[in-house]
Amino acid sequence: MDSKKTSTIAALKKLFPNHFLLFLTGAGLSIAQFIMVRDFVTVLYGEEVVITLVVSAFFTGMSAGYLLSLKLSEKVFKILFAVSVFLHLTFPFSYRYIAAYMAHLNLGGIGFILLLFAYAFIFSTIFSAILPRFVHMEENKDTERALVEFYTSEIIGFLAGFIIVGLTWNRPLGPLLFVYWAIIGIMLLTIWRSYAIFTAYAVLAIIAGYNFSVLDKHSSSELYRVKHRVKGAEVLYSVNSPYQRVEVVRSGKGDMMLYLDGLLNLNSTDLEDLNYFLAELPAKLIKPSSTLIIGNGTLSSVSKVYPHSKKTISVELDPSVLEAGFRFYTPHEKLSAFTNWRLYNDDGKHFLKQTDENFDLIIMDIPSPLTIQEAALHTVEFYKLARERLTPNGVLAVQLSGKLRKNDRSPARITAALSVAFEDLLVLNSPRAGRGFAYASRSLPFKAKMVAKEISGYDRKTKIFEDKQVRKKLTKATAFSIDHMDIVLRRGLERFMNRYFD
Amino acid sequence: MKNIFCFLNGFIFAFMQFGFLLMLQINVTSTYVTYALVTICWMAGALAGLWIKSLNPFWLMAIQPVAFYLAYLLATYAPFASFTFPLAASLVAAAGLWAGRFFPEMLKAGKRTDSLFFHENNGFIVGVLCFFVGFTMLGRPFLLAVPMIFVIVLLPLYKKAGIALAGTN
Repeated sequence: MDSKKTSTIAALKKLFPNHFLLFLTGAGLSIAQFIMVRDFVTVLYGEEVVITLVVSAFFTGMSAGYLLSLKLSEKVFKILFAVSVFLHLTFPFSYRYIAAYMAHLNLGGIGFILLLFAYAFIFSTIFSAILPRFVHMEENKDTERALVEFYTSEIIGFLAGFIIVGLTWNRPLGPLLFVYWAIIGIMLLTIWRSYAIFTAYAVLAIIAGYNFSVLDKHSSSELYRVKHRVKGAEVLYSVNSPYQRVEVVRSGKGDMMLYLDGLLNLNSTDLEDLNYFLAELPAKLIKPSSTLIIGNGTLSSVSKVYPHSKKTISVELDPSVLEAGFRFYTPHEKLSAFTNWRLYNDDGKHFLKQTDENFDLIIMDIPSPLTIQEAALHTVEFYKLARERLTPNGVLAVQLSGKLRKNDRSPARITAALSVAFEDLLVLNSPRAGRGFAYASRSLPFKAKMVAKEISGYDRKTKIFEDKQVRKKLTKATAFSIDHMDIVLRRGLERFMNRYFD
Repeated sequence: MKNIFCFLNGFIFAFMQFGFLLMLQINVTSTYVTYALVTICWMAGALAGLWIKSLNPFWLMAIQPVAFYLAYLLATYAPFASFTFPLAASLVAAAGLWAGRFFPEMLKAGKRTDSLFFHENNGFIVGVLCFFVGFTMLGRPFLLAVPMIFVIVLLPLYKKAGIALAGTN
């Protein structure tokens, strides 16, 4: 019996040498980082403040692993490793259900932060403990060489994990998680060298995998029902793009809501008003020869602009948002008739810098500036770039993420940035849309009276401010620029504190 | 002193990675290509640094800010030149060399692997937090100032951390 066991162990060691285990560790850490950051950012809602907090939590888990690595006995290490690996089979359902339950109990911020760090330890601590343990194994007489070799294996593994993550972009979480479970399963077998434990793990993994789609959908929907307080929420679409988690949620009332990293981007009811003020109204007033729409992944504004514009171009960065748009907001068939419409999958800045075309109307249909990347599209620098691609009377239409008031908040800051880049501004504060809209140009081709006449049949309560009135409202506002993005931090913190510590 | 040195290096590694990423995203493109380029090239540099023993640690540390500033100039003044991405990739990899060489050098200087990674990783965490706060509050002046400040702080600590000036030859 003993000799049989010894030969099995020798065979396993031959099959999975230490370098291979370190390779798997690197791959596992790479995938774990992606899964944890995406999932917890979605659970806690994805402002830059939250993204930074979740990334920090993951690395804190790694620090704990390094700290404990040589302090744990072999037996304790193996037990903790097995516990951690088995707990992975509850991902992502367990933390979603716990978060939903905590929201139900109104536990507040401390509870959510403890949840985040507890899972960070499960995700990363035991894996980061492996490298120092292997470097300082008794059989390694040359620790420097061991470090170089093992760390190399871990980095190559990390790159392999990075590639695996890349291959699963624009797909649901399932396939990536199954690969991850397989990786840590092989690690479990290598570390424990026990077929019994591995078989138990494999059986549980198959059960979890078999029920994955049901549990994934249910736990996500539960989170939206309880934590986001969307009555009757049902998650219809959930994928990880290279940039964010993209989810479409249908409420009990039938509203279709698009969430990006857990933040509500739009819902189908608001979309009508947004498209009217941001796209249809300026297009009606200008009758542009050429229109550029940046963002608007739902493509819902294309049909509003198209009848008034000779040529329309849409530029959207995220292919998963486009896919959600095609599936739930603007079907392919509706767009196929638009022969003078083109769609580019690109970054708006990059497109504007590369194109030779000039536009009569540029529509900025992008999220509020809650991350650095989003904020970069609301800056003086970006607006100056857009100005270069506008015809002399060309108009830039921007939604202000709130009503313009005399303060230093986002709407005023965005408008202040526009006021630096453009000579002529007009702002509409719409109670119906619940936000303001700005039109900016070297010289606007329409006046306030024309706008008032045009919107009289749509929304009589909208207040219109001409250039002088707008600039008077900006005395307290610092223009958004690459060097002045402090509001991303301040607004993110404010939202985070209000949400979890109010 | 060795712990502080490890911590500060972790800090600068975080700053460098996020700094390269952001400068390219702001000036060139925010598509995933930029993220992939920075991650892969940094790792490739670290791998090369791990294995090439003849590299002088002092110069590897000094290369980091030089590579950073060159990439900054490139991204700012020639964002769409055909050579920008390949050259930026090389500069990221060059900056990553020390991120690889650092670990065997510190081990040789007497640090145990657990403590070495622990302090470096803690520096990395603080680097991530400071990068976010620093960039949102100060913008590009923060990007430009930090590498120089760290050269001024790190290089004098270099000898005290026990790393042989001649490298591992």
